[in-house]
Amino acid sequence: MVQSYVEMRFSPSVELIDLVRRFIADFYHRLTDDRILRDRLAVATHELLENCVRYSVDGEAKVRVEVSPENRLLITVDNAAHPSHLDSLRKLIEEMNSRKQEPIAFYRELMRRGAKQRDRSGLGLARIHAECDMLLSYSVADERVSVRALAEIEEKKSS
Amino acid sequence: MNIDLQIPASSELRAVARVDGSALLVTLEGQADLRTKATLDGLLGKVHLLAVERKAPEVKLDLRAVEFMNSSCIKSLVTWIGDAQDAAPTGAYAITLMGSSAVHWQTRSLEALSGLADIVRIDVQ
Repeated sequence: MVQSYVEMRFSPSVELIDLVRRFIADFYHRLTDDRILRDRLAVATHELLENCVRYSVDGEAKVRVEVSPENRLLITVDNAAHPSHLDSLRKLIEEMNSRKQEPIAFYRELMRRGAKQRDRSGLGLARIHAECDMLLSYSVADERVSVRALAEIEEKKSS
Repeated sequence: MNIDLQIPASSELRAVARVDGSALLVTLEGQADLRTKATLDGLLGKVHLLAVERKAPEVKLDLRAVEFMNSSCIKSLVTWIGDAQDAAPTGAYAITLMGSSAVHWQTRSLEALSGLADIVRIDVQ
């Protein structure tokens, strides 16, 4: 059962990312008083949205943020993607999860690996894991990929 | 003395550079994301050339007024750090990244960047 959620469909574009992130950030304000947690969630949301913009192949993406009664917050982005991207994504998440005890070290390693590549970052998902302290997973169905980031949150104190 | 970095006036990311003793001090303000990555790349390229030309021993990059930075722009910093490393020994300079402990991304991103190379130090207050 989901305690509360917000879901948006949007055409993935650079111009819309900031708008969508700010809209969802308002939702985070309703969920928690913890400013650091809100900042973490906003960074994670932004990185996931940018992935949609980079890799969506059909001009449509969906983002959903939901909170369970156990106070687990799940951000899911969903978009159609090219098979070559799906392969890269699978390798990255498998490598990241195999080294989940050392997220900062893995993040730095990706920085070093990509330092000379000026055309792409490849850091977004590792950043979510290392800086936002969120666990990542993904699933694929009919050439659509869903990437999920999970965080534990504390209940907002009533005022 | 201020230095004109020729940043487009309409950019969401603004920058001011000046000579601070023997160091170059570059102050950024605004948003660093996909909209401004090209601006940041151009800026860091100019800062690198300036530091090497002037034989500046240090470049301080003040990020405290940067509200948000995405991973593509963090990658721009990584590339710049690599360029500064490659400039050694003749054009060697140290990099100090200045951030605010009140801004989560600055605390965490600068911590990650500080471990990348010996020439990088962080100043988070």
